[in-house]
Amino acid sequence: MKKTFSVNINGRIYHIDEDAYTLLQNYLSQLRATFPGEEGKEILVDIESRISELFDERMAGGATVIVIENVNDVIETMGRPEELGEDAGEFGSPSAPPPPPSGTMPPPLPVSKKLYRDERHKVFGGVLAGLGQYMNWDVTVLRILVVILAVCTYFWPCVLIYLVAWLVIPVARTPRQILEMQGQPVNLGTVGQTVIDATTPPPAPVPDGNDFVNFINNAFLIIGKCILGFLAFIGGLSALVTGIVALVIIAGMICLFTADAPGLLDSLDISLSTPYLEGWGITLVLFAVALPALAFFWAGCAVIFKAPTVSKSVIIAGIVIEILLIVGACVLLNFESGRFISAVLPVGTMLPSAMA
Amino acid sequence: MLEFCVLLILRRGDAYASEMIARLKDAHLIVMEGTLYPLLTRLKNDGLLSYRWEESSQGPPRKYYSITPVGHQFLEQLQSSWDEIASAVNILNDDYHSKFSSQ
Repeated sequence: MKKTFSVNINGRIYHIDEDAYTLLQNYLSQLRATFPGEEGKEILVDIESRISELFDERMAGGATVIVIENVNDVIETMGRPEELGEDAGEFGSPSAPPPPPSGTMPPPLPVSKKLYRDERHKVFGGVLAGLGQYMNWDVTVLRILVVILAVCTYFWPCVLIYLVAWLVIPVARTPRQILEMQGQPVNLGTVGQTVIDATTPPPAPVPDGNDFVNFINNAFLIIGKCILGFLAFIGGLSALVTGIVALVIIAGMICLFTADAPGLLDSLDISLSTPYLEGWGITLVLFAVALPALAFFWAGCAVIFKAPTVSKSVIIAGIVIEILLIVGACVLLNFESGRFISAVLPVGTMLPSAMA
Repeated sequence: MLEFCVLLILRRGDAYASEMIARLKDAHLIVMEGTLYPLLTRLKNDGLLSYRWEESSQGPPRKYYSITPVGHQFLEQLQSSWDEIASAVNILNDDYHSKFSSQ
């Protein structure tokens, strides 16, 4: 099963597989780089319209989705950007020979590497795996060094730096990013290869004949999993306990509030006309406290009992409701005190003027 | 060389890119279709070709190219120089063949 996108090429809609989409987009962006300027835009429009015609031919067979083979066919038919670029460079010589057939690849240009997290070879967040790629170091050596450094500095500085790095460094997701991380030139061959690599399951750690290195790597993976599991357990348990305690307290408060409502309201009552506003304000505060408590409770359940995690939209909705509750409570309670003040102030200001 | 072919195709009548590709393929000339588009755009910017949009029965409108007077002049130049080259090559080639068959 694959995710598909709808794309508009030259005013026509095509459904296209995710990997095929990535490849096509890379192809087009490279063509855009090959043909710069206004003239290039025009060429791109023409090429896109031809691509849509080629897709139409493919779709005539009854297929409804463009797959990666179709895109590869189109690229073979149209030509690779570097080959087309050569032709563009020979403008002006009418007897220029036709471009050489595919197979002649230009020498790879020196490419600047970019720092990404490598989630395919991660233990925790792939920070060190990415850093290893960036510095051309062996990940295993880097990990051993970092562990030694962590032990020497009593762990916390390294843990903090690691967490910050985890947050700050983006993960290499798309083929382009993976290639940039590895410092390989982003062209069609490599992108296609990476797309294919990404669609197949990630390969097991390659046994490179060195048992010791493999042993160390596996040890890192196992220890990493143990630490992650332990942290998840502790975090989940504390969240669960916090959530339960908070819920119990809130339940108690609500019981108290409803049971002793008249007395409570009487004791809080400032002026006879406004007990209800005050009561609503307090109710909102209670809900505002209850919502995060419930969230904590659910998070704890999610970690420990593998309860289904809630979707992002639910979390956002929860945050919005929480903010509304807090704002509402503030407004109601402030309104209350504001009225109180405005009720008192005129009297206070009138008194001296009356006396004078 | 490809320019010459494109101009030759257009001399027979206006055409849009896919038609030209089909003709070039019939002549076993084109390797990669992508080479045609930069060429067409350049010829157009040099004033040798012009184009117009024409509705098609199926699909979006097509870009029909046609040769301008300047393009016709250029084509004649190309034609004469091509004839020279072709005749020269033919003479040498016939020379070789006649020698080869005589042995």
